[in-house]
Amino acid sequence: MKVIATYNIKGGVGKTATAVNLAWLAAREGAPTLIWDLDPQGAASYYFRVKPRIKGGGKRLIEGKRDLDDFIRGTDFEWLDLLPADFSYRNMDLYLEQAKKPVRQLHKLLKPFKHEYYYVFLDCPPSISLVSENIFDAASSVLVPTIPTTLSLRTYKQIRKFFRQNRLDPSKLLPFFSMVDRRKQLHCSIVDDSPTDMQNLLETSIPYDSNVERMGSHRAPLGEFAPNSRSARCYEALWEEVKQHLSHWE
Amino acid sequence: MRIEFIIPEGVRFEDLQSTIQKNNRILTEPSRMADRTYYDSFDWRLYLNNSLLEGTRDGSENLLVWRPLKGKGRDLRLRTGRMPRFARDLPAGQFRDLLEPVLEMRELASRVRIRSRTHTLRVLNRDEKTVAYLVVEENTLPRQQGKRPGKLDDRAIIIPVKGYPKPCNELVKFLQASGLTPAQHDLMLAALATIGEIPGSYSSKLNLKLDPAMRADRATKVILHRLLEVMLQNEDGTRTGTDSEFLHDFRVAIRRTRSALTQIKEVFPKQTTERYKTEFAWMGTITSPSRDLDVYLLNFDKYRDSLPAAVQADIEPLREFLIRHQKIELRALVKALNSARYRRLIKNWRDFLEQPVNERSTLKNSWRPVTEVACERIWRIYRRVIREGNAINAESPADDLHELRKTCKKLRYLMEFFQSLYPATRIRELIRKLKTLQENLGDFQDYEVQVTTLKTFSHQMVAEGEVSPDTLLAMGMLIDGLERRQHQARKTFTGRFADFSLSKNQGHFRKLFASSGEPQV
Repeated sequence: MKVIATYNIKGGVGKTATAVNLAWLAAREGAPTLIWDLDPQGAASYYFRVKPRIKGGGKRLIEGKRDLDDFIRGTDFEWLDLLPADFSYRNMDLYLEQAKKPVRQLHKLLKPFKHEYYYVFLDCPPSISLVSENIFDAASSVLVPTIPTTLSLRTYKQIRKFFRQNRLDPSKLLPFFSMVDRRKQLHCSIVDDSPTDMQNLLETSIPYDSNVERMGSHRAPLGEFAPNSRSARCYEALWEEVKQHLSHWE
Repeated sequence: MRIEFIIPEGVRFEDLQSTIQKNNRILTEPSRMADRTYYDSFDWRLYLNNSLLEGTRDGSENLLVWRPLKGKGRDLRLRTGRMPRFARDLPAGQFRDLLEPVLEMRELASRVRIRSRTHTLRVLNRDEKTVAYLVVEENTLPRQQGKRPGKLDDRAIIIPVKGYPKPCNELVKFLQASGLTPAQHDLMLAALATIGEIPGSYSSKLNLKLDPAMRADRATKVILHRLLEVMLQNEDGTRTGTDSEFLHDFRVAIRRTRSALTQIKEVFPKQTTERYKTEFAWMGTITSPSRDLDVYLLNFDKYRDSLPAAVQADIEPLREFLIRHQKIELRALVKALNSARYRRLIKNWRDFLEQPVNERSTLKNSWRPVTEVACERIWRIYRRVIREGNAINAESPADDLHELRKTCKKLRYLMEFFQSLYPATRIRELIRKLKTLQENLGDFQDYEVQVTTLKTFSHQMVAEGEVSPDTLLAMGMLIDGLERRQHQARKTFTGRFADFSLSKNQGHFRKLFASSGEPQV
């Protein structure tokens, strides 16, 4: 089982779009895939038309009183399941703190699915908290969608610093440029001449594309309604690159 | 888990569709024609693993679905460009990881094809989310294996969506109320039965049921006839060289035949026995070079991985050498199998085995009950194993271990020939114990043979030119590794033999095979 998180401290950078489209591509290849919507806003659940509700809320889930499997829903796509969001996830830090080994909880919850799913995507909430620490611990790779602006690059540096300070393996971080708007000079110059301190920067960047926004109205991954769009093609290329990284680290 | 129903004649898809639509939100997908091929190995490894592998051509790709035949368990699916011949041809991933140990070196062969028109209805909830699928299949058998096209059951299949049990239960109730009956078997099994294929029918095992009172000569003919059957079943695959297991099973049947001719003494006239011993020895010789090369190719990745990463690439020319020579040896083998000598041997041998036994034979063992002869032979060879094993110490030459290995093999074959004459669990347990000893002796011998053959290969490669010093160096490292492992096997022998020859185990052998008047170990 390979756990892939899509993470950034900033919101609105394309985390959910990345998790949803990559998970869809993985499942299309025939790999049993789970996407866990950890964001209380529940955007990934919305895209897959699944009610963002966990009976008993996040507390019950962390306490492990019920099998995680009971909360998983099949999506409209074969081999792609979803663990929906719940509004109570906003208090997830509190529940985690109460548990033993608070940083290992997500890892522990996912363990029984080792043979069930080949890929698990974690769609993370935008923050840096105990939830994020759990995600960094459980994930084999952390994809960091980054908008090519000065502030976003600064945020990425903060994430790397956090990794260093907390003795986490920084090679897990896989940044890539997201929502790239070629009409903007700043975007172009950052993408074409990317900062040298962005180790493991993936070559593929995802363009700014209104089709990505239309995922909300179609409530489906890009490949389902705009398979030939530039962004859909870019997600395919990104997925190929991510897979190469995963096999490299095996 | 999918739930399948058989659609009785007279019930049409359109009728089911219009009734369901009355009470449910339905999305009907366009109907599709699909040609599905079901794959398995020659010896039905997937079927025996309670699974089936279905391949559907989808544009330029193949969609492979590997699913359980019975019970729960998740389907695995894979999109791939070319249909893989072997598990090793699959891209790295879960599908391959799980299929490889089941299929091992065997080739996937098409067992049956089904043509279906499929209609898919998606049951939607208020959010327009799919909460269950109903797939209706109109199935036919296209012309195949010389069989005419035919009709198969039409089926309705409910595919539940995880986390939404209710709509699925409602569909079950609806189909039952519409007069559909739950299918007992997968459609593939129905298709195989229609074309007259019996899944799981091949086995290289003897699987005989001998009557203890049967005359020994007659029982020996039964054993040898079964071995001839196995040989013939594997002959075509041996000729084409599709996968190495055909030749392997072919050779095992030959070896067992030779062993039976030698070990079950005084049942056939000496002249007959000698004649066929010579002929089957010839068969052993002609099949040997191909098998040696197969063994190297099967183990090649393991060999390569045993070398330090920096020199792993250097060994690749050896693989090319092996593949080239394997083709040459296969051609020679096919030539021998096409020869008049081989054809004559098979014909005469079959005639001999199918002839009734000579009721007035004066040969010592021919008329005795098979169980008596079996006990006598097994007990005698067992005692030889113990004697030879006990005589081996740290200074004994390698030849002593080889001799013991051969004696153990004789014992194993005898126990397998006559297995059905003894209580199943007890003889199985003794075979298992013997097998553990044989594995150790086999390793010891195999490493030695591999070292010798690798040396021969290196000389051959030099003689053929174009071999780099790096390759020879890598082969040298391989030889070193094999010698180390052989040494290790030798060290393990003492413990293994001590376990096998424990007085408790000797007692089990004695109880099963020694009659009261027989000499003890």
